[in-house]
Amino acid sequence: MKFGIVTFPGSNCDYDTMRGVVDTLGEEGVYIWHKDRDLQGVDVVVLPGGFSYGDYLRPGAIARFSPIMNEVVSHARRGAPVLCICNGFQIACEAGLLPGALLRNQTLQFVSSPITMRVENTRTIFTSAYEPGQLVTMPVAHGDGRYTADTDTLNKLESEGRVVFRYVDATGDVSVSGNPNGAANNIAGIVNDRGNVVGLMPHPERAMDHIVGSRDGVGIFESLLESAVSA
Amino acid sequence: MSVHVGRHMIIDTESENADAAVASVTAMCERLLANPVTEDFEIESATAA
Repeated sequence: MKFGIVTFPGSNCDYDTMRGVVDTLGEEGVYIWHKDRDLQGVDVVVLPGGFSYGDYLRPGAIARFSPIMNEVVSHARRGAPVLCICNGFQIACEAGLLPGALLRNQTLQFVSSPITMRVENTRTIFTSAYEPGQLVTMPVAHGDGRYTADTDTLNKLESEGRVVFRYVDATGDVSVSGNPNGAANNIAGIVNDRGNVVGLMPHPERAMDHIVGSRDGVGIFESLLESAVSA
Repeated sequence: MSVHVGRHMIIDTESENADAAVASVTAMCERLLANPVTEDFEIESATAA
């Protein structure tokens, strides 16, 4: 499977993602510069974490006008997978690929810490390798991760099983103490209505090797590989 | 007590008239300057002397 990792000016998790794809999974990865207009025939597009355009104006607000984003939107409209991590999630919301927005953390502090989240829906191409309700640990590192959307959208996401990952505390409870940023309904990650675009604030690509403390991120990539086999 | 924090932007345009200027700044706000999911915007126009 060929992964295309988009590099915007200010992206900083593109190399981590490439290392995960190539070294951990043994799959093919290419960097795609944000000014390119060609996705090089990749199967999966990854919008990686970082601080594209220095977060000027709002995180993701400027990156969504990068030339490659026209191709990323077309890729998504064809039903092909797009994995949007942290700043990538913010860019996807700004681009209209995912509903809602990411606001400044409730504490107004940047949070950099391992967190626990629960896999809420394993019937997606991004989560099929996990067990339903599985608790996974990955790092978060963001200043603007408080997911928000209007009430109708939140209700729709919940009723359609589109809240894919939810922050929980160490005991697995959905609690205020387990919520690192004040996100609505403890939402850590969502999927679009078609099921091919996922966005999450935690960093699976930084949790793909025991040496960094967790391999829980591998499941997202293994799920994508499973989906390609079963397709 | 309520506290409002926002941005104040001054945008000079070379438009035919005030309506055209407001229309173009509205488009800028909707597409880039504000995120309609979380932000509101107001536009006041002033014609240069």
